[in-house]
Parts: sequence; structure tokens; C-alpha cells
Amino acid sequence: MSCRAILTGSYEMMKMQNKVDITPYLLISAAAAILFVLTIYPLIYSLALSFHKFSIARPGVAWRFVGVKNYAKVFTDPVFWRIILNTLIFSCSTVGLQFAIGFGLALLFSREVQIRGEGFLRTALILPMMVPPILVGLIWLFMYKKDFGIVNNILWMLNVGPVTWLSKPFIAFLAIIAAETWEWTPFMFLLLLAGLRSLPSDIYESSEVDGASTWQIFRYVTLPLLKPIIAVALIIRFMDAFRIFDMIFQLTGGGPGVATETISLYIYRNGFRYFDMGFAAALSYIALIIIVIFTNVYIKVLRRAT
Amino acid sequence: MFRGVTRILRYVAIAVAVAIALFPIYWAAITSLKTKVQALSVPPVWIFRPVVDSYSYITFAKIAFPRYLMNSIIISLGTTAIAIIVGSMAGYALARYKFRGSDGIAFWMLSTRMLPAPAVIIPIYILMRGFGLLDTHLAVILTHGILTIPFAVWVMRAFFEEIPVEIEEAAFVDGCSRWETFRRIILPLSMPGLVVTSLFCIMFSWSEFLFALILTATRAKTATVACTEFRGWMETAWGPACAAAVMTMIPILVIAMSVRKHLVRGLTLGAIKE
Repeated sequence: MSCRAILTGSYEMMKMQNKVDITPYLLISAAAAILFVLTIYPLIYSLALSFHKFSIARPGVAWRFVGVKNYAKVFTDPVFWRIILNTLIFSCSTVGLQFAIGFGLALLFSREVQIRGEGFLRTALILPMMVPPILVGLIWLFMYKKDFGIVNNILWMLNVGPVTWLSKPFIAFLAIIAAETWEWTPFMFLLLLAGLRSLPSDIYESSEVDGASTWQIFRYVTLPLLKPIIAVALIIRFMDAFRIFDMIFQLTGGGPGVATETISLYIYRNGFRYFDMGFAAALSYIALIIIVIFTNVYIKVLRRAT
Repeated sequence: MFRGVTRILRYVAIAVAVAIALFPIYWAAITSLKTKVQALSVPPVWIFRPVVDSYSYITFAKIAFPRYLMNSIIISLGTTAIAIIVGSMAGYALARYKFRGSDGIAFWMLSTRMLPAPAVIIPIYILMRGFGLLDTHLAVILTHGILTIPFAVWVMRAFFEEIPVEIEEAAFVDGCSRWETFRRIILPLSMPGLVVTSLFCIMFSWSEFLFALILTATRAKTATVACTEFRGWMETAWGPACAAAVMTMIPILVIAMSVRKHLVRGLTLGAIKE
């Protein structure tokens, strides 16, 4: 009889005596209490706030009830839709690029032939994602500088440029995508390589014996087997990309105009620059609903994987 | 012949990828060792005599960067201590007991990790201001619990589940109490898991920016926030900025290297085991 059986056994007995073992609830209560204060309470608070007008810049002024005016303002705000579109384009393109490049690199490493110094190369490849995002922004800002940045210096050697990387809408967007891809491709690489390494080798051997081509093996053996890991990797990255703040804050601050502004930056700007807390709270609720949908998908995938 | 070519292509592709991955970090590191003029020179200087001007500037001159590093150390260790204590308790309960709502609680905790920071930052700011905690270490320590506690719960649960229940059962049979079993058997066995989880928590807290930016002003400012403050009237002081970035990065990179075997599990909150 296992320990769990003993424990559940005693649990059953207690239930018969109309008593519940409170030990697990006690053990969990501390973590639950802190997370409650840090997440549930703020969510209730900002739900209330989103129906009011309030500014932290003027502490004396009380909340003023405005009904659904903040939400109406969100949905009729053309900037809001632009920002949702920015956020979606940004998340989809960066996650797509990270996946494509990361998968390619993982496949390069997964072949049977060993590479000399593999451990070192793999470690080098995953370094970018260890750099705090705000510092990634700082370093790339330096590299993107028009007059002395290294990117333009390299382009100058090729007789191109100089390019003003961060002050033209479309180019700024591309520059941010490049920096984000640089930082998080390693994540995809790491997860997919772990996935590829965990696949049973006998399946490969038998499909080779059956005369399957490299492409067929990839399409009909590797991909289906990797599906759960691919799903987890894509969803984690997508949720992180959707709420990106640090790197864009550092690189362009959302500019020029709102060309590179995403939902997190927009909430920050309205709450802590314009001090329109009610509007910011309404915005954050809409962002939250979108994230909750993704989270639910993620949890479903997770439940299936474990 | 064909084989040889694909092999060379493979090496070239990997070499290019490694070069791109390392270059920005390398560039920041060598810029931090250049003089003011060298840092901004066109064309860039590749070979030079390294100087530590930037480092001494941020250490001894106007900006006392080591103080912000110290703040980061205090905050990351503080939040990690809390996360490890409450997280391993909760993780143990989830791993070993079957009780009503355990699944729901576990997934609720996981979902808090996914919250976009701006969605909770306004109420947390107002709450911390209400308690007079703005610009204190404690405010950031507690707030970083959003990042570290759900992580600790999930990863510790997975570690506890790996410890065979038979060992606990044997201790029970030998007459150990629940607490003794935990202290003498479970705790030593889960030490590696605790260490790995702690290191991850330190990394999360150390790298965090937005909460630290909003909740601190001067006294409790963290290194990541201080790194962004080298902008001058005309141009950022790039040498010192890079030096600060390097000083902030080094502890993280060292920790990351020491947990690299557990990275996959850690970064997917235990969803994928290697």
C-alpha cells in the first residue's frame, strides 16, 4: 500500500467521521493568501476602477462613477484598435520567426552525427534569452543608433544606409521584431531540441528500413510526435509576446506615434503618464480577457500533455 | 561528396547562428571597456587597450550603481525565500494529498503567472501606497511573488512527485511523525529541487523591470531600472550604460549556466521534462 493510499485512506475514514483532513489546506493557505492579495484583489479593484474616473496624480479627488464610459471610450478609440492590431502582428510574426529559426537550429543539432564542442555551442545559442529583456532593449538601442550604431556601421561597409532604425514606423516595427526574435529564438531551440532528443530512435530506424525519405520521416514521424511540445512552446511564447513591455519601452517607447505601441505600453501610458486610471483599468480588463482565453487553451494543452 | 557539402553547410549555419547569438552581448561587453571616444567612434574600434573608466564611473562617480545591484540582491533573495517556503508547502500538499479542489487551485495559481503585469500594476501601486510601502524593498519583494510563487508551487510539486512515496511510507512504518518525515526524509531528498527552484526565482526577480520601475523611486531602485537611466540631455552615456548592463547580466548568466540542465523544465513550469 502506497503512502498516498494511506493518506487517502485516512482521508476516507475522516470523511466517514464527517471530518476533513485540513492539513493540505493549511499547507496551501500561505501561497494562496499571497497570490490572492496580489492578483484576485487587484482584479476586483480594477474592475471597480474601470467604471470610475480617477487619477492618482490628484490624491484628494475621489472616484467619480462614470458607468461604462471607459469601456465605450476604449472601443471607439481608433488608437486602441491600432494597438490591438500592432500587438497581434507583433506576437504572430515574432513567434512565427522564432519557431521557424529555432526549429531549424534544433534539427541541425539533432542529427546523429555529433558536432565537436556541441555543449559549448548549445550553451552559446541559449544565452540571449538569459539577458533581462530591458537590457536586450538597451543593447539593441545602442546597436541601432543611426550615426554610430554597429548595425549601420556594418551596412555602411556593404554600401547601404545609413538607416534610421527607430524613427520610421515600419522600420521601427521590423527593428523591434528582430530584437525580440534574437532574444527568444533560443527558447524555441531549447524546447524543440529537448523534444527531438526525447523521441524514440527505433521508430526512425524502422521507418528508414521501410524506405521513407528524410522529408517523409519529418512530416509523418517527427512532427506528429513533437506536437505536444510544439504546442506548449508556441503558447508560452505567444502569451509572453502578447504582454511584451520592457524591450519596446526601451527601444522606441511605442513610437514613432503609436507605430510600435502594444497593449501593455498603452495601459502604462494611460495609467502612469496621463494618470487616467479608470481608462487604463478598462484597457487592462480587455487585455486580461484576451490573455485568459489563451491561458485556458494553454491549460487544456497542458492537461493533455501531463 | 553530397554528404560533405551538407555537412559543411550545417557547420556554417551553426557558426552563423552562434555568432548572431553572441554578438550583441559581446558588443556590450567590449563597449563597456572602451574610452568615451572609442565607444562612439565611426568606424567602430575593434582592437584597443581595455580601460575600466566606465566601471569606475558607475561605481564611484555620480551614480552609485553597486547600490542598485545590492537592492536587486535583497529583493531577489527576499522574494525567493518567500516563494520557496510557501511554494514548497503548497507543492507538497498538491503532490501528496488528494483533496477537494486541488486541481482547481493548482491551475488557478498557474494562471496568475500569465497575468499581464499592467493589468494588476495599478491596484498594486495604490495598495502599496496605502500601506506606505512605495520605494521599499518589501513592496517589490511581495509583488515579485506573482512571478515566483506560482513557479515554485508547480516546479516543487513536480519534484516532490518524483520522490518515491515508498520512502515516506517506510518512515511512517518506522514511527516517524508527519513532520519528522518531512524534515528528515523529504527535505534532504528534495534539496536539489529546492536549489534549482531558488535559482530560477532569483533569475525571474532579477530580470523583472515594470513592477520595480513603478514601485520604486530612489531607495529601493533595482539594477534593471537603474540601467535605463543613463540617458543624457543629448545622448546616452553608452560606455557606463554598457558597463551597468554587463554588471547586471553577469550574475544572471552565471546562474543560468548552473541550471542549464533544468532550463526546459523550469521555463515551461514543469510542463516538459527533459
